[in-house]
Parts: sequence; structure tokens; C-alpha cells
Amino acid sequence: MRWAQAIRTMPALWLAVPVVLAAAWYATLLPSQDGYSVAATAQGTATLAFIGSFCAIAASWEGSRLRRASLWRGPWVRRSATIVFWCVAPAVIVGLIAVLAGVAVSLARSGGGVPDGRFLIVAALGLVAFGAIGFTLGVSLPFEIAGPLAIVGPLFWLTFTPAIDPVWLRHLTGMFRDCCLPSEDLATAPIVASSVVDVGLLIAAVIALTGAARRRRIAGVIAITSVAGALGVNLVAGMGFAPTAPRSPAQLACAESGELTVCIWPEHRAILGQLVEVIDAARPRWLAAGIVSPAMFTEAAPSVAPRGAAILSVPGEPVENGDLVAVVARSLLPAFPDCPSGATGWMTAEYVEAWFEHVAGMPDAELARLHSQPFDPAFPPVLDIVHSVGMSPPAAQQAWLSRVLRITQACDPWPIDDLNIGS
Amino acid sequence: MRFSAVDFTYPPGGLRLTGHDAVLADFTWEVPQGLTVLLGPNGAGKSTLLALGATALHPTRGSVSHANLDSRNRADIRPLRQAIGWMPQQIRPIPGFTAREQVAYAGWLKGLGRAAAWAKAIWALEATGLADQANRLAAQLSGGQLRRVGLAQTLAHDAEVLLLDEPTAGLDPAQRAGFREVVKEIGASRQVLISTHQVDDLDELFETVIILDHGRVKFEGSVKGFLGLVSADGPRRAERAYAALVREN
Repeated sequence: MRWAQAIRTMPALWLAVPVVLAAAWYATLLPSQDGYSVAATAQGTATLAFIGSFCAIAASWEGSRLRRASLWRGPWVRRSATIVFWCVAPAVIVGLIAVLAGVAVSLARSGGGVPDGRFLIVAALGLVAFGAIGFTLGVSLPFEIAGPLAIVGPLFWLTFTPAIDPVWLRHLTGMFRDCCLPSEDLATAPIVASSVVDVGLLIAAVIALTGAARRRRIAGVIAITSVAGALGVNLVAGMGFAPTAPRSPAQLACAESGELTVCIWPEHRAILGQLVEVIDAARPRWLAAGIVSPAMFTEAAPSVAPRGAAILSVPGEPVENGDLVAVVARSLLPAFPDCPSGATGWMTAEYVEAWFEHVAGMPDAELARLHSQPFDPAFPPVLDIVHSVGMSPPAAQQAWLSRVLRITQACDPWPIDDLNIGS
Repeated sequence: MRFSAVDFTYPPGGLRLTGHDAVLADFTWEVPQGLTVLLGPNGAGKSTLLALGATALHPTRGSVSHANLDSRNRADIRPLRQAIGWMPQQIRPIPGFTAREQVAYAGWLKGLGRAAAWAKAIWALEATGLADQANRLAAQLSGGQLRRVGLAQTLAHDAEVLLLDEPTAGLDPAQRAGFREVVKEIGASRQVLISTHQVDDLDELFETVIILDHGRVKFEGSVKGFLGLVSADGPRRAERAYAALVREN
């Protein structure tokens, strides 16, 4: 087919510009990702939610064209695979360009970086599978049926599946919107599982297109989709909603100051020096108040961080020293237990955090900015408690700290009275 | 082109477990050189025979061969298809394509490169008298014009054997006369087998007549020999000869 003819007759090419623009626009609606290119690429590939349907319907139209002209399965010299390729390829290529546009916008919004190829490979596999399924529907059914199926099928798979329990089902779709926090990386299991499912769908489409007897084709399609689905489920069953694994600590950028070591992710490297200064200044003050802070602060995930290290989560953009003090103070808090609904013990952690900040020398104005009101209006003002604790003897302060830290861990249903220094 | 001991039965459709009766059984026949007309009543197996010749259908047993290419050998299928042009009974327009684009696409499907198919398409449309309609959408052509597009599709890839299934169905007398001229021209250098159930199509331009009925060759010979089956007196001699052969059944 000549270019002019292709542009005139193929919906995939008519719709190329609107689809690419829609993907780029959609990517602007997604959260920006602090310079972490893995997370930014993951957000960008969320455009698959509608690009999958585009590929399927465009390929379905081409299949339907062959069906309506009675050209499918004719005694041709060209191989069926070649014929299908030229029908499906434009839709897949336009779809891939649209995904890349979404990824480019997402990366640009997060401060640049190189797209992560793993997401793009999985997205490409998905688009090929959707294109093949769309074509198969087009040559098999009247377009009035094949068209709506081609739109609804991928849309249902890509948007409904992530919305249902069990939550790990979403990892089979190849759309990894929940990847990744800075301390996380895309896990291998979801990549393999979604690729297996996509390849299974592709093989099922190929089986459906063969000239074998209908019963054999139906049996083949059921068998291959079942096997691929079972393999995929086996790989991701039991995972949480995020398709992630801890990010390799080898990527951390570290700085040392005396016995202190601070490690943060490379996309946050710009504030490493400032962070070291803040921690260096705070540690002696905390020590004077009886708080022994760790010698290592790291952004690595707790599961891979060195034992005893404080786990940081620093902002991506340049910040005031006060914000960094808050980040470091938060890193000294113990992890919260998985409390039942209604428990409010974790809310008391803000008082401890504010007290750490106060001890580290944070001015009252800054404290007031960060802790203007507690999580729940029924709780006492944070600054009032911090000031009253700060004016108490060191032993009373220690006793208060121990008591409130216990509350944060105890899932106490209503701990307000225990917040006061004299309780 | 040769059919050797060909059996053919349509496979059961849908959930049916049993097939139809055999359309062809132990059918052996060689397509003669030049222009051959294949006559027979509805259901005689004419379209099936042509589709088998084109390898659009595959014999249950036996083979179709041409120039040392045998349909039983997988490696021979594509060269065999390249050597054969088949015009099926129904020609449908390709949605969105012009006449030239439709013919060029058929040429590409038959193995021509894109540029060659594009060039051959206009040649084939000229050969079928449709060059002036080349840039019209195929869907806008009349039934007769569409059949000529079908013929052009068959010609585009320079096949050695042409199998034309009811090519004159739906054409008016003038179009049929025009079609005969085209066939005469293309038949000079190729084996051409034209199936029809219209005895009116019988013409001196055909070198061989074959009558097929219930999957069996009832007659094979020259037009003169066929007409000689009945007396020269009286009207509609070809129709009477045909009826005499088919009635015997």
C-alpha cells in the first residue's frame, strides 16, 4: 500500500495525531515524579489505558476490511503473517509513539531522565497483543460487533482489572501506574507475568486466525489463554498493589561527615550537602536531650537498609533547612504498627516529631508553619504540648517521649490525655 | 494444470459432526491449452473445481499440479498460487480503495512488489477497459465494472493459468461482448478456464467445451463437436446439446 493510500484509508493514521496529543495531555494530569525516571516512565505508560483500545479498534477495522472484501484466507502468495503485519503494524506503531509521547511528557515534568526500557517493552508487547486481537475480531465478526468489542475489551482489561480484588491482578495488565516510590524499583515478577499474558493473548489470536477447524481453534484459544493466565497469576499472586521491589542501594549517593553517613537517591543529590549539614547540626542537640540518633541516614527501603539506619524520604526539589530538619526528625520515628480502623495512636507521632524538631533548634515560626493544627481537631495544639514538654526537666521530657512513643505503637484508641507532660 | 484422483467433500460446518456428500470423487482431468469453457448445472462442482485449482480449497485426496508444481508439496503451494489467477464468483469492493488500489492490492497479495503491483494495476485495468475508472472508489462501481475489476485483479500478476468463475454473471449483453474480446486477447497466451452455467456464453472463440455434472465430466471436446451432439435444425442448438447431456443423468 502506498503512503498516500495508507493515509487516506487507514484509521490508525487518521487518528495518529489526536491519539498522540491525547496521550501527551493525559500524562500532564498524572502526578509528577521527582526526577526518578523509573517512576516517571511508569506514569507515562498509564496512557495504555486508552491506547490499547485504539490499537485494537484500528486493527479491527483493517481486519474487517479484508473480511468485507472476502480477501482473508484467499489463495495468496503472501503469507498470512505478512498480510496481518501490514494491517496491524500502523496501529501498533502509532500506539507506541503515543505511549512514548506520554512517557516523554511525564519525564519532562519530573525533571528529565532516560525512559526505562522495561516499561516500554511490556507496553509494546501489550499493544501488539491488542492489535492482533483487534485484527482477529475484525476478520471473524461483523464490524458492528468486532468494533465495540475491540474498544471495550482492552479498556475493561486495563481499567477494571486494577480496580478489583485481589489487588495483584493489576500486575498482569502491563500497566504499572503504582510504580514507584523513590526507594522502589519495578519488580521482575510483574514484568514477566504481564509479558507472559501478552504473549499468550498474541498466540491465542494467531491460533484463532489459522485455518484449523473451528472447534480446534476454540480449544486452542481457551488452552493458551488459560495456561498464560495461570502462569501469570502464579508469578504475582500475593503481591501488594504496587508492582515493586526495593531499589538497589548500590544506586545511592552517599556523603560522610565524621562518623555520620548520609545516603540519598541520585535524583536528590543536589541537596546531599545541605542535608549532611542539617543532620550534623541536629545530632549533638538531640544527644544533649537524651536522644541517641543513628550514625547512618539513608533513603534505601527499610528491608535493604543497614540495620539501625534512619530511613529518610527527602523531597526532590531544593528546600529550606527547616523542611530538612522535619524530614530527619520524621526518620527518627519508629514505624507505625498496622492498627485497626479507628485507632488514633499514630496521630500522636506528630507531637514527637515536633518535639524532635524543637530540640534540633527549629524556630517557633517554622514549627507553627509545619504543625499548624493536629490531624484531629479534638487533639491539643502541637506547639502547646511541645512548649510545655520543652520547659520540663530532662527526666520528665524523657518519660514523656517514652510514653508517647509507646502510644504510637499501641494502637491506642483515644490517647489525648496521655499527651500532656504530667500525665 | 492437472487434477489427479481428486476427492473433495466440504467439511462439516458449525457443530455438525458429519460432512456433506462428496462434490468430486476420484476426479482426474487436465485443463486443455487455450480457452476452455466449463458448463454445468448449479451444484455440478464447477466453482469447487476452480477453487481447488486455485488452491483456495484443498483436495481431501489427490492433487492439483501445474508445471511440476504439486499442491501436496507445501513448498510448491506459493509458486503454484503465483502461476494461477483465480476470479471467484463474488467480487466485493475493498472499503475505501479505488479500483486501481484494489487491483494493486490483489497483485501485492499475489506476490508482486508494491511498485510493480501499482504499475501492473493500471495495465490490467486498461486490458479490461476500465482505465477511465481507475481512480473511482471500487464501492461506487457498477456490478459489471466490479466484475471487470475482479478480472483485472486476476490479470495483474501475469498468471499462466486463469480460472474465471462465472465472469459474465450480471453483465448486460454489451458488457458480455466486451468481456469476450478481453478474454480472447488474454487467452492467446495462457490457459484459461471459464466456468458458466449460461449456455449463451458458448462461442466459437473457445477451443474446448467441458460439461461437468455431479462432479463428473460428461463431455469434453470442441465447440463444433459439442454442437454436433444435436441436429443443426431448430433454434438454440447449444442449449439443446447441453440439455441432452445433462438430461442423461
